[in-house]
Amino acid sequence: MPEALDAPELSARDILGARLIFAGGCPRSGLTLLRRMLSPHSRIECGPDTGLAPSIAMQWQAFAQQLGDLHARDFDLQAEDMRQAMAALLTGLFETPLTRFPDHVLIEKTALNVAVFEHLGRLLPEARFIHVVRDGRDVAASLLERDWKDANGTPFPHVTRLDAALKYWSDLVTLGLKAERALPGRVLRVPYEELVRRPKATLTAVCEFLDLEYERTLVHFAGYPIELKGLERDSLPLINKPLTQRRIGAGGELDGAVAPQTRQLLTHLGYGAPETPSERRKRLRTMIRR
Amino acid sequence: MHYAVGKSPIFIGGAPRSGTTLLRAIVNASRNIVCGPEMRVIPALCHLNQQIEDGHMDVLQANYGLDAQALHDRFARTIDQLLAPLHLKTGARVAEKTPANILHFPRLRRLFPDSPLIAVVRDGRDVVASLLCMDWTDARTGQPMAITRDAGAAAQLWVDSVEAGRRLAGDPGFTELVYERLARDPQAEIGRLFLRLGESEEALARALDHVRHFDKRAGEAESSADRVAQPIDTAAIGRWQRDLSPAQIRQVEAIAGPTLEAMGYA
Repeated sequence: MPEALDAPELSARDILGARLIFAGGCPRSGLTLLRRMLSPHSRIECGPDTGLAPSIAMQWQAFAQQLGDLHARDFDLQAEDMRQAMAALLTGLFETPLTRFPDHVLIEKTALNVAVFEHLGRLLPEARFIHVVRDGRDVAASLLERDWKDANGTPFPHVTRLDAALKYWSDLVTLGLKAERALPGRVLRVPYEELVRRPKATLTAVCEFLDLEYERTLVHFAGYPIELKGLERDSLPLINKPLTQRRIGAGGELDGAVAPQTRQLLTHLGYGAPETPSERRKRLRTMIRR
Repeated sequence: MHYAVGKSPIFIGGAPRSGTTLLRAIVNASRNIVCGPEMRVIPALCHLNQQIEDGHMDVLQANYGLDAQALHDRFARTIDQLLAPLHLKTGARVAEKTPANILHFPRLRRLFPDSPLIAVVRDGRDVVASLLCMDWTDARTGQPMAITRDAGAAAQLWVDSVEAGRRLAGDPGFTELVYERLARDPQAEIGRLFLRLGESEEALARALDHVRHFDKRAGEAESSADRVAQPIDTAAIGRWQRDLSPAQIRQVEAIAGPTLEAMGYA
């Protein structure tokens, strides 16, 4: 066994996820912006997407559901043993930042974390979650500008068809809301619109959720450049510019394509009828004057 | 070098229906080694390890201080942890037998540099004939598995399994057991294996008396339990000649011909 296995281990609470926060949400909802804004905090580590949590959480679920009985009967391996092993695997992969910065929290930001918030909540009983939401019409408009393709080079339906983009948003947000109900007090919902309209108040709420003090550097994030990785680079044209509200309502013209179920979800989240073009112009003029 | 399971775990693999359950029964009978029925987690964890290494290593290294070796160490520790209860219960050296392990032997070698890796190889035509008698269904779809319906799919799995093992041919910890030799002369074939594993003559003697010790109740998912509970015989060698149709034989040979030849089966 290599030397590293004998290295100092994470604390018991770290293996339960006590200093881990998983941020997720439908892609194009503002997760990279959130990372950008939180990165200057002196006690927050927030790196680019790793994709680790969804893979490990889903594998844990597959083992538990398909093989749990077999493992208990033939291997003396109980469900809790399997949970502990997979939890130690996931948290162990973050061992370096967790041990190097013992008073920091680590925010793992992968959009599709939202699909497994609930599983992660059971896998790591002390982990917390940030669910970033944004108006589904604006998300769909942004998704349809992407050129994301699968491994065979075929564009994904949710970046090529409006109905698929809206459904993609609806499916992921529904999973996020389900996790909010299943994990009371452990999931903070952060609306993108609040982040850009009221950054200080919103970031203060995020810091409170993380048991940290708000720091003034957060709203001056432009002085703290970060390197974008992978799909984050799609945000490059906007991410180093001052905060803007111009993207709010950018998908308003797609409103006619919203299905009743998605409409219900939009309403539930407080996204009502879209602004008319003149209302939007007026709002933006007001912002520019400010 | 601390494993929860004591010594480096032993991994056993091979194309399904190649004799891996027989080998499990034999090593278990030695009492020095404990080998549960198919745990089925090693292939999935190896696949996950590979996915992470291929897809996320640059980010993990640059932003989270995790290099490939640390990644492999973490996965090794997880596998060790999953096998530990078996070791704690029996005190014996642990072996893990899941046929698909063989597809991940090169990765297992990176995770466990000192582990014995044991491949069981059997004539691919007999493997196909046996697979086509199975009623296995895909747990995710509920549909019959292609390898139990399609001779070509079964032959391809055999080729992939054998070739994965052969990639370890020069590895000092790799042992290839041949089912036909095992059936014809178990003492010689298992004796060779136990010598490589450093196991004693007494353990070998107990292993060769596996029928007395085999517990059919363990491993309900194993299709060969009834057969393995019987003394070893050579009845299944060459069964393809009566069980496969001429069209199936042509199909198998078209896919597996070069590998069959390389392994001395054709």
